[in-house]
Amino acid sequence: MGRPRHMESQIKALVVAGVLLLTAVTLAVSIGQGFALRWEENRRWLYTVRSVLEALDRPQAEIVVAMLRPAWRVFPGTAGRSGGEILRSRDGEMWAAFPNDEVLWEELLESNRPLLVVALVTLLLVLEISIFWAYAIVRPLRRLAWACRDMGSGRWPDLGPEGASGTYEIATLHEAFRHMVDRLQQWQRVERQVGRMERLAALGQVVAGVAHEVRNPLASLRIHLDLLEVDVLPAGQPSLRVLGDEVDRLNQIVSQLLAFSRPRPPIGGPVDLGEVVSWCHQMVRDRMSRQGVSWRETGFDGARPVPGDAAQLRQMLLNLVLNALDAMPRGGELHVGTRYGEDDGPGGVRRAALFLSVEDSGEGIASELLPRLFDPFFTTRPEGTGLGLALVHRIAELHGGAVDVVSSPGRTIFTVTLPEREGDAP
Amino acid sequence: MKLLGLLAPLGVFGAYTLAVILLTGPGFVWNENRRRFYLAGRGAGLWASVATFGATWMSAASLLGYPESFFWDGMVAFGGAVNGWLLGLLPLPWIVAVLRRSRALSLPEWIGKTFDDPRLRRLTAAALLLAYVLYILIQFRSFGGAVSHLLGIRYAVGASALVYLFVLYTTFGGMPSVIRSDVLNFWLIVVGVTVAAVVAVGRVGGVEVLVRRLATEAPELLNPAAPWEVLGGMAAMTLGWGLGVAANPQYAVRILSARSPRVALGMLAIVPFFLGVIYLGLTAFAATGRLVAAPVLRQGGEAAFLHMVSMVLPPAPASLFLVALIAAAVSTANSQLLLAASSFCYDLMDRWRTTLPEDIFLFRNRLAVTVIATLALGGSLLPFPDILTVGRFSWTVVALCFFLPLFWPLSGRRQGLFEAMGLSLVLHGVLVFGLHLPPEGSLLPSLLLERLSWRWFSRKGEEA
Repeated sequence: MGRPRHMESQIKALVVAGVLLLTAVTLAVSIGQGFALRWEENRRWLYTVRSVLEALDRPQAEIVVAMLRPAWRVFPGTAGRSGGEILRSRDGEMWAAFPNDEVLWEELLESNRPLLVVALVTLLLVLEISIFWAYAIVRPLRRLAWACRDMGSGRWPDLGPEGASGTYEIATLHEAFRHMVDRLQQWQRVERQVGRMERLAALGQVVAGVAHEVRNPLASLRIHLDLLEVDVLPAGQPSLRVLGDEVDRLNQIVSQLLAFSRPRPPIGGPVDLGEVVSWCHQMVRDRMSRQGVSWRETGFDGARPVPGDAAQLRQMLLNLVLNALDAMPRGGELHVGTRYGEDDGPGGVRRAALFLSVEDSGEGIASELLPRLFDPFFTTRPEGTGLGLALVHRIAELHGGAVDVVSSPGRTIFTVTLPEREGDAP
Repeated sequence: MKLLGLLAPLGVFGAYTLAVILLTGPGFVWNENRRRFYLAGRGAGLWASVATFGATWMSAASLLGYPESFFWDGMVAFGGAVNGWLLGLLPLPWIVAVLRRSRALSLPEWIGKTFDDPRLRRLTAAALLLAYVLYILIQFRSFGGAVSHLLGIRYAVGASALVYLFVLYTTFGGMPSVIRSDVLNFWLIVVGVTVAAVVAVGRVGGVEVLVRRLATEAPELLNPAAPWEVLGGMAAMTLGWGLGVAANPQYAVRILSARSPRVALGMLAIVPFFLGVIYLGLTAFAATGRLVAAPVLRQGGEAAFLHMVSMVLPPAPASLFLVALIAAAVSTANSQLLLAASSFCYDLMDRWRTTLPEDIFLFRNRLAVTVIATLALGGSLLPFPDILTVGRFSWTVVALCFFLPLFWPLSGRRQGLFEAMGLSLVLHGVLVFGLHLPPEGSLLPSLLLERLSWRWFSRKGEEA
């Protein structure tokens, strides 16, 4: 089987061949008819001249014969001139006349020049239109093929704006493809969420067991370290303090693990977000001045209280702010803002929501890392635990909300969506 | 012979149009974006760049206006127009590095970003739109004249409207299509003019006979000792054309669309050779026309010049020359239509640029091309002054908008250019339309005012 032919070329060839044929036939008919008419006219004129000549002597006959030119080539005498029309005067003088085809064609072309120009222009115009037409048909198909290839290589394709796909049939094909892509994306999202929940559940069980078992020895270690502090000589005190700090750090990690794996349900109540933000600012003020980061907050004046757990919301915001500070080791601007709007609640029902955003001017997050950002233990920092953002995600979920991130070089924004009305929260 | 005279124009015109259509078609791609549409994805090779630069350079004003001007003014026209045009080429290599560093898709965008003033972007885009509509009008008028003469149809809307056959089609695919059609246009211009010159000079008996006959029959054409006022006018014309050429965005865009700075520099190095050949050919052809068809040319106007072409040349070379004239008009018109559309859609309509999806944005560009072409077509039927006068006005406006920003060293002063440019354009308008000064005469004082007022406004801005 040979290579398949291009539909574009076929459309062009068909349209042009059709118009070429039509033009050729029109021109042939028009010019052919003109030729036949002129030929007939010329011949009638010759017969008229011939009958007139029979009544004239040579001097007058020569004047009349000249009138046959240029449509006829006329030669005196007939010797050696066979095939022509013979003309004879009353006194016996003879001429041979031959039709002058070149003049006939010139006259024909001259009189048909407008027709020739129109035919040429029409032909060229149709060729252009066929190219545009072929382009309009083929372009959406090529785009679709490219989209399929993209999907095959694991990327979600961009088919451009809806309704820009030309004819009805191709638009329907595009729409069906778009619908298929939407459904696949939805399915992938659900699959990812289910997988994450299963992983978290399994992880939670293990972590909760381990954390519980580790917490008791840690408490015992802490008590004995405190008791030792009285008996240890001054030279050993620094080592004791280091041991104490490390035990505290381990305890904090274990608490985080427990909070993540067995979160307590949020204690409902109106929370003043302005107060949460200002507490958070107090907590990080020293670190910000060390790093040369400026603080900006917008939208909290006159902000309405939201239903939620103040302690959890504090923890969530603090984690986001600490994460932002980690992203700006050489200074920058940290912007905490809030705005009111609507989002899709459970079941796709629109509801009033509050959007709390934390924006930093750091280097940004690589796009391939974004889908894994809220997974527990996923971190890019050697000293990180990978639990901060996972906890943010968990708290947002517990409040019936969600967290989202967009990032580009020089700008990363985490946005937490919280339902504004208590009934909308679980 | 008469039959050939009838068929040759139709055949040559048909073959040219067919070639343009077939060459340009593959430029329509399915995965286009504005970078590809405006700048051919910055991927034009050396010879494609040379061809598109040369074809755009040789406009109808060059092929039709210059020989006509030579008939009346001889070497003064050569000195003023040709020197001016070529003078404009000299400083272009200096802006290659500056332009190539930027990621701008248009010259107004480059100016707006370089001087950190969005108003400048809008002002230069609006001025460019006006100047190019006027210039496209010239191309359409010449195109209409050449086509009506070639096909033997009456010069009217019909003849000019045939321009749609070319410009809408070649501009549809954006810069890639324009470049593809320019390759054909450029070689047609080179071959058409060269053949016309060789045949014409051959008909009078060679170069020596031509010069000898000119010296006796029209000595004033070769006389370099022209009066001071004529020489002054020539110098002003040279500067006017030169500054306009140097600052013309259609050349800057070709520097941007070249594959690399090296290709852009190569293009600027090669192109003068071909331009020189074409100008010499045109000069020889015009000089022959003066000897052979002086009574016809004395009637003046484009129609007389076109008639002279048929008198001086046999049917086939005459048809080739007229098609070269059409190619020059088409190549300049489609390049300027693309730039005018980009000025409107990309530089003036902020919302279109930032909010529209790529497909719709490009569709509006095509719509803008059609509207601008229709406006220019309507304008080409109005009784405007002669070709060179309209051309001079357009080029001086372009020079006032782009010369200083492109060529004046910045040295940290970026404020005040908008006010200075606005002031100079107002002065230029007053001098040309109020005091009826020739555009090239008004250019220098306006440019001087722009420079001085820029200095003043920037100092004032720094103090504030």
